[in-house]
Amino acid sequence: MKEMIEKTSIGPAVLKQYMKEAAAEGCRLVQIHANRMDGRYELIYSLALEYRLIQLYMVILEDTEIESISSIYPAAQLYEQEMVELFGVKIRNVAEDPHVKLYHVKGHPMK
Amino acid sequence: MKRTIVPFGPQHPVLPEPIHLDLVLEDEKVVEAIPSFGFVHRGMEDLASKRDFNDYLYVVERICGICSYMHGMAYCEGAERIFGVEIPDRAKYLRTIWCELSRLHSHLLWLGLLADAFGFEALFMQSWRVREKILDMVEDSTGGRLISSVNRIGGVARDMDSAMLAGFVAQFDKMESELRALTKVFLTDSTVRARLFEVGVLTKQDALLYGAVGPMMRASGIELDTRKLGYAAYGKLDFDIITSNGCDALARCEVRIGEIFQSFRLIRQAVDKIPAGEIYIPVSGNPKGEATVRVEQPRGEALYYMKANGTRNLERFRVRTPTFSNVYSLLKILPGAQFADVPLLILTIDPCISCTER
Repeated sequence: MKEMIEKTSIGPAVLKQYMKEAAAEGCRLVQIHANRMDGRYELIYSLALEYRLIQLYMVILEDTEIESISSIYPAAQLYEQEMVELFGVKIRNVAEDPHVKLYHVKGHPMK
Repeated sequence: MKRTIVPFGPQHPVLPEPIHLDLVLEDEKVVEAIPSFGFVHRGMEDLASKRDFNDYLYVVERICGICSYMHGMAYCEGAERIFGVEIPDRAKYLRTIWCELSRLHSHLLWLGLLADAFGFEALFMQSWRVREKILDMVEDSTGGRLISSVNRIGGVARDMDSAMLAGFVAQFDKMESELRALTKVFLTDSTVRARLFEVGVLTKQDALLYGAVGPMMRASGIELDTRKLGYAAYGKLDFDIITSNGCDALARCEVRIGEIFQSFRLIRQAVDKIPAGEIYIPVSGNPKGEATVRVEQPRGEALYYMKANGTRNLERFRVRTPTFSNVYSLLKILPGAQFADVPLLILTIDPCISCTER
């Protein structure tokens, strides 16, 4: 079986709706991570449906606040928390447990 | 009922690696677990942008000792995809054999740790006795017991001759026979079942929702194994995906034991089918492009993302390790558990904090 990777660009306005539909289809969340760009972040959301990998690319400005998807995929909480702590990405309603602290770091070392 | 918060870790006898949980208890029952990591976070992802991409292979291999080989292999697979090179077939088979030897010693390590956690010392020692033979094979074939450093971008650095491969396979019958005896104890002994059966239940729906991977996911009845994607030589070999519908700690034990026997099966096939030929093709220049690679480590699916911009450094390297993905499931199976079962439940995800603290 050859690995199929689908790449799609997505905007912050439709992120949550896309995730709702993906979850209803049976996609599982594989991971989320941030890439640093000049004055922007590229966020990559990886979903998988069986062996098919779907990579969603979302480019946002540094001060753009995006919506958390942890209400749809609870496991997103850890990935979002990681992006907040290491990169300083602004995410609304990031954690259902606001006292969770993943990394003992000062500031945002990968910003 | 009055609630008590018991700090668990970061130093705890059950796990030599640092993870901290604040366990909220009502009497002896856990009602909430609040995690804290990052005690030994090494910033390895950030380091990728500051090191030559060839040198960085040595860093990737040190993300974790137990999964070292597979971290290195996946990194090379990613770089090879960016360069657009196909490595020689013999190198693919050699990678597969070393992958399965890694899985064997990792699963046997876990079985021993589990036995130790529920206080069955003889079972712990027997599991590790068998594991030593696998580590000897890794050492004979790579020169290192854990960190093998045999992967190169473009293939592998060492070959195994037919006598060595035949020698490994010749030992498998005896090892399998010994492991069948241990399996009987792990899965049917009443003292073991008393600690594992119906403990830490993670339903199929929850496993999907909470992002469980690897044996943790397959023990909840989900038939997915990244090796079926066919990287290295897996596409040319047959194996069964071991699953269980038990969804509990015993099911996780059952799945890992089943996978041990599948690893023997895979190595036997690889030894039969391995072609003669080159083990390495030179790759030169600086990479430019992007690659995403998924591999099935002993603890589950790992994802690697690499972005290169044509310089000697990667622009971005990302690894999502299986433990990072399984931690959320752990946090969800702890509420409702007895305090005495917490160390055991932490072990059932086969946690690798080194991987998580990459």
